Amino acid sequence: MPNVASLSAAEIEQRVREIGTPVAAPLVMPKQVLESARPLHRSLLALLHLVPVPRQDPRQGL
Amino acid sequence: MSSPVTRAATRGTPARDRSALPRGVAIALSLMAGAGAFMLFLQFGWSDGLDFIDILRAVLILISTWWLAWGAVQGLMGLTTDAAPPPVQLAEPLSAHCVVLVPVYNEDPVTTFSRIAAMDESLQATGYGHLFHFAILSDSRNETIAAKEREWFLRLVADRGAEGRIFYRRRSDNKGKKAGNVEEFIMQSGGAYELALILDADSLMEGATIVEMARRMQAESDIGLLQTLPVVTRAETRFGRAMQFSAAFHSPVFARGLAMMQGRTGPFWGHNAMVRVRAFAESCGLPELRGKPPFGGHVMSHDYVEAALLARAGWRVRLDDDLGGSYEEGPENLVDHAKRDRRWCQGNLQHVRLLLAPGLKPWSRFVFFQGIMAYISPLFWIGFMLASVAAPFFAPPPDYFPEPYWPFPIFPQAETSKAIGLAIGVFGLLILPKFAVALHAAMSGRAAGFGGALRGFASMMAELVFSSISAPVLLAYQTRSVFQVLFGRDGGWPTNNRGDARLTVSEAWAASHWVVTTGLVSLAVTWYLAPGLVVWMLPVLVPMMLAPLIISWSSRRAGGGLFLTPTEVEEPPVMRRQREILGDWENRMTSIAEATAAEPARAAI
Repeated sequence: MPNVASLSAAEIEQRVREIGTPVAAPLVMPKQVLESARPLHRSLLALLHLVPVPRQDPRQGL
Repeated sequence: MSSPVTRAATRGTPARDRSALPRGVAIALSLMAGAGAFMLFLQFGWSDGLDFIDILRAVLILISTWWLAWGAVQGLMGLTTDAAPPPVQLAEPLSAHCVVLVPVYNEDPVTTFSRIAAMDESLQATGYGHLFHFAILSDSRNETIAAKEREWFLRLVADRGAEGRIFYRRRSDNKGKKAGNVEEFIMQSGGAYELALILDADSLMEGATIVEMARRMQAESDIGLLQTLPVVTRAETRFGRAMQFSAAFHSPVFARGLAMMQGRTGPFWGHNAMVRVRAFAESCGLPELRGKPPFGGHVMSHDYVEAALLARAGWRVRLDDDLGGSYEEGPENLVDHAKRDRRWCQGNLQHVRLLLAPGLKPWSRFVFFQGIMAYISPLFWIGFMLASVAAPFFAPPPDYFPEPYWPFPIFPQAETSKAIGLAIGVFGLLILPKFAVALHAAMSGRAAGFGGALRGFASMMAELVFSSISAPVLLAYQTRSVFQVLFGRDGGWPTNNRGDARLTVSEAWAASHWVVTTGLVSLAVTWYLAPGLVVWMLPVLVPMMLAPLIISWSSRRAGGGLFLTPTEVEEPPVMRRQREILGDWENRMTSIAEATAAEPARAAI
């Protein structure tokens, strides 16, 4: 490996890309369900202002 | 989105769960203590006629005492057993490939990478070094620091001869913060490894400990995550050393109590823990929560959630408190501690949205609840104090002739003894576990690591005094954090300070003048409304009024022989090597700087 002190910033960046990039071995990481879908739970959280309140469609109120 | 419960069945041979009894005992005892305090307070309030404010105060004291007792019971339970290795041992040779993940965020790369060099050296010495890779996962946004990271990465690889073993990558954005950083690595490269050791930038672990963790995970295929108990090290200031001593002296006992109750749903503290990569990948993909921070957005205290998700998917999460050789560093002054606490507060309060998440184990929900209680419990004490100050206005006038046709006055029965008894009980819950730990340390010989039984006891007493003085200031910060979160203020993701920690009085004043003002105003209000309570309030209000002095004094370098810890009595090999490597690198930096400075001079000559 060449002496780091003698390398320019661009050379360092290039060298880091060459030897630093981790092995490519993809894994799927599915997003998990974290919040309850039950209407009671959702309205409770909305009541406590802990979740954004869904915008009321004016047509639904009619 | 995947199904909330990916696998109901447990993997491998399910270990026998003995957590039900300790959990039941701890919950029952702490509830009994809370109920006792509630009844005692009601009797006290009854003496001059029970009113609404008395009942309110009794409820507040019930919650606060239950919470204190919960901590105390956990500590006392931890004294009843000793940490021991698990019964299942690996019969075949270790073969699992493991990657050590070091997420960094605007840290000093020289210090951080010297830890990696020391850990790599320690791992190679075990003979299993070929099974371990390191990946530095940079989220640094500061370009100067990022350039230094690249430069020192090359030096690290050259020094350790580690091309193809130590990797470095920097994300273009830091989406999802630390959890997103780790997640991105797992999605890109996780398939190459069975296990991943997740560290913090200030983590340091012995190679033998890392190998033993991998052996345990290979031996028990149902373990999804194995957590060690990191020991705080290298504190230099009065505040840092008191915290370091407290963590080393008390935490193993409290962790033992926790381990007795963990069952299959142990804790994850975000670092110094090993995960099974596939389990983590299939169970721990964190979605963004709807809405804006602090309650929406990325999951901040991701570790608790990841532990809950692994348990939900049927994996076992376990704290092995018998494992030594696991170290971290802590904040060196009260302001840095409060900054970190602000982040944790927001993260824990965000869990209120996840309490009802589908499929979680009941204990995981209870852990979320505990995390929330850890931050909101001061509000119950404050509520109790405010209600006590206001109580005289609600009290009915004394009735000296309650019996009709009875000519002589009947004076209310004095219940002062009950109030004093209650105060002693509450104080006892705070200090009893600490004295019990000191006694146990002296009897078991553990005190030798703290300079002997006498010195250990003196340090424990000094820490008790210091924590009593600093607690009101810390509680003021904690309370402010809770209100900030409740009013929707996002604390962001500040970089951890790991440099010079000393604060002048004026710097401390700038950070705490509002604590002083709150203390002064509270004293004046108490004096005006309930002068009889002033003496009771002074232990809380005096430290608040002296906050800048306490902060500045405690940020200074500690002297004297107190707060000695085992890692100072006998420096662990990996810590010694890291110190030597860092010293060597710093000398090299100085030589390079001198040579660079001399170059133009030579050219001029």
